[in-house]
Amino acid sequence: MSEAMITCRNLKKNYGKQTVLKEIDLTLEEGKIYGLIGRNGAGKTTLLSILSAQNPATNGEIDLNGERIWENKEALKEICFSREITPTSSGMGVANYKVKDYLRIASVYFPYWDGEMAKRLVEEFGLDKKKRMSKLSKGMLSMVTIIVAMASKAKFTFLDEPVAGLDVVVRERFYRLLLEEYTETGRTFVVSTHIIEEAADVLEEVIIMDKGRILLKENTQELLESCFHVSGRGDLVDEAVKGYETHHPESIGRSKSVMVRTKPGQNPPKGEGITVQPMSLQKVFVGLCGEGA
Amino acid sequence: MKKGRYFLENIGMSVALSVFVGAVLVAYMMIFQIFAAFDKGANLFQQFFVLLPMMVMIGGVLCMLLSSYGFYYSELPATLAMGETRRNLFFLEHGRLILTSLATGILAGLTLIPMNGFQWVRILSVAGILFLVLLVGGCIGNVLGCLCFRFGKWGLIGFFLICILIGGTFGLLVASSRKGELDSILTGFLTGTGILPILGVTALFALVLSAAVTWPIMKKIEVRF
Repeated sequence: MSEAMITCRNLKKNYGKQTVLKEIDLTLEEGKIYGLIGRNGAGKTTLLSILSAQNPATNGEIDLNGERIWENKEALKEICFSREITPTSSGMGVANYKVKDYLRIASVYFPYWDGEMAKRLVEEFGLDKKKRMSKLSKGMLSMVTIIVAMASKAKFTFLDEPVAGLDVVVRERFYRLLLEEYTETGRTFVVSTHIIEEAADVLEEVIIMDKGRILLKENTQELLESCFHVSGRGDLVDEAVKGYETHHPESIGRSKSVMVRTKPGQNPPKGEGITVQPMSLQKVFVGLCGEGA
Repeated sequence: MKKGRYFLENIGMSVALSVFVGAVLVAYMMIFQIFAAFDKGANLFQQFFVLLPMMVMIGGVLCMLLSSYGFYYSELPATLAMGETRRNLFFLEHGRLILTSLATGILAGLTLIPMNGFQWVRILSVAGILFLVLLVGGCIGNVLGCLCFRFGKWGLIGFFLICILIGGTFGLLVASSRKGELDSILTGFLTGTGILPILGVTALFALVLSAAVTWPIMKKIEVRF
């Protein structure tokens, strides 16, 4: 049985003269949890909204199993992008819906909607269904987007900052829920988040974006095993990292530290007077996308 | 089945709103008849200052109420975000305009039965006028809602320019007609004699205008929450 996949080729998005996404080639395979991480304004939300046909691309093609997803109801049945809901001061817009009305619309439009799951999660999160979403706190709005994403049972589910505003207890619950749902159904999840360390344990593959481009898309474990933090006296560090791909050098006096990324089969750097340490995913991200990267 | 029931509920709410608007129009017609009976000798100048502002006001209220503002700001982003296509929503919105206008017209026509009995010509005439007037208002309002959603304040300005163009064309036609008197045209409009074909053409024009203006915008519309 062939696996479903979403493919995008040469994707570009302009807003006026500003290019927000630049020549993105990406394949999302079935049955994986992807983490989409990037700095503010990197283009994460724009990418997810184009992949789910909520926004048109300026250029490029997005397919699901070879079929265009744009205005294609059959393809769109398999995709859910539960985006962040922002209340407006005017009281108009989606945030003006009551929670029960919003979930009811979701139940109408998502063909695989699990009403029981939605009901259970509403009770578990303690949401008042009769309240308007514009009256909910940021954390409660995140809960609504999580409920829609989970109960949609769509094959490809995108979540944009699902843990924004959630306390640590609910965040832990979300990650457990994500793993449970993934284990039971094998759905593909793409989670965009800024709280990288917490999510690192559940992310199978990580996609790092910077300034409208995809810097890398790799297996999380393999990425972490290939990145090292090298520190020590400046000249010794420079000697040890010769021939290696380096990022984010930092100097304080005579000391220097740098992030090193090894190629497949390459051993980590070594030498006298230097310290080589593994890095966390957050540190890798800062090394690749931070100032001076 | 679920989607059908959801759409029917939506149409039901739209019909209720249109019935309210229709009632306002009928009330205005009755007030005008009373006013005209009081002052049969009123000249065009006097009628202009009373009649036209009220027509503009009611037309404006009609367009605002039927402006599809809620559709573009709430329903469209929510349903597009959940996998509906722009094509379906385009046809749905226009279908809803036609169905709610028709339902309201029929209801208004049926309300004449207790007063006038089963005078089908009069009932159908009133039903037809109200259906077509609401359809025109709804279509123009749909253009307003779409332009405002897409272009913000510039959309509102653009809408008023369209209204000025259409109003100016109408005014020119009146001025260049044989009689050149607005009151006879408006009286004919209000008493429903021979106005149906003109309203029919106007409604068709409004429907085409609505489709021509909204589709190029809707087919590339972005979801914004």
